Amino acid sequence: MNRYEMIYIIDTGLEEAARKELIEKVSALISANGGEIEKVDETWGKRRLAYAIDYKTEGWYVLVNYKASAELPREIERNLQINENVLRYLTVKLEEKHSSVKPRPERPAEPAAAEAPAEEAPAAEVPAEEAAPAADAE
Amino acid sequence: MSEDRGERRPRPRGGRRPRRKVCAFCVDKIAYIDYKDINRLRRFTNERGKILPRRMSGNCAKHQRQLSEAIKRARAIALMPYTAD
Repeated sequence: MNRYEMIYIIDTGLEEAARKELIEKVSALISANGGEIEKVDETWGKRRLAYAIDYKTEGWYVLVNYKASAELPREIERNLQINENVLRYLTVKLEEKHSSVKPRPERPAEPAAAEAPAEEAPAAEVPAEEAAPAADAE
Repeated sequence: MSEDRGERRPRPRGGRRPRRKVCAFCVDKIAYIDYKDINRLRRFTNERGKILPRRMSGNCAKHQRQLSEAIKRARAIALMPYTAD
């Protein structure tokens, strides 16, 4: 299982009910194929596009985080491609880097065992702060 | 050989060398540059939407690579312009 983040843009010409239905459909598609939805974020909502897509200057952004095997994103994207109300989509695989602090490599046991414990104690406390940068995007 | 290794060369005359910039992402301790963080990304493009080179942004190689990837992703999903004009 990998973690994926998918963002897609729905045509704002689509009325609310149809939009809700489309978002539901995408979510259902993910879970029906063995994916596990972590979060569907609609807070982005209507945004101005940085450039016109099909002569449209606005789009409704939806962000989906899900866990799935490696084949699923292709299937989801195939379906989004077919749907003409979806202007754009982008799937990104979330790496461990997202946790902002890399796990420290295990120190090999050194022969100079007398010095090692004194050094390790403060070093272990260092990677504790830092908020995940993924969460703060509006 | 070893004697003059650590010695600083005298500055070339006349030319004022600008202070070396430090990488903004290293300073903020950012491990992953998010393509959704467009306010941050926008600072590293010029007004035409082009990605600034390292010599102007002062980023380290590692973060510049991540940054360019993030900006390109943001462009693909219409969060940032490919070009402005």
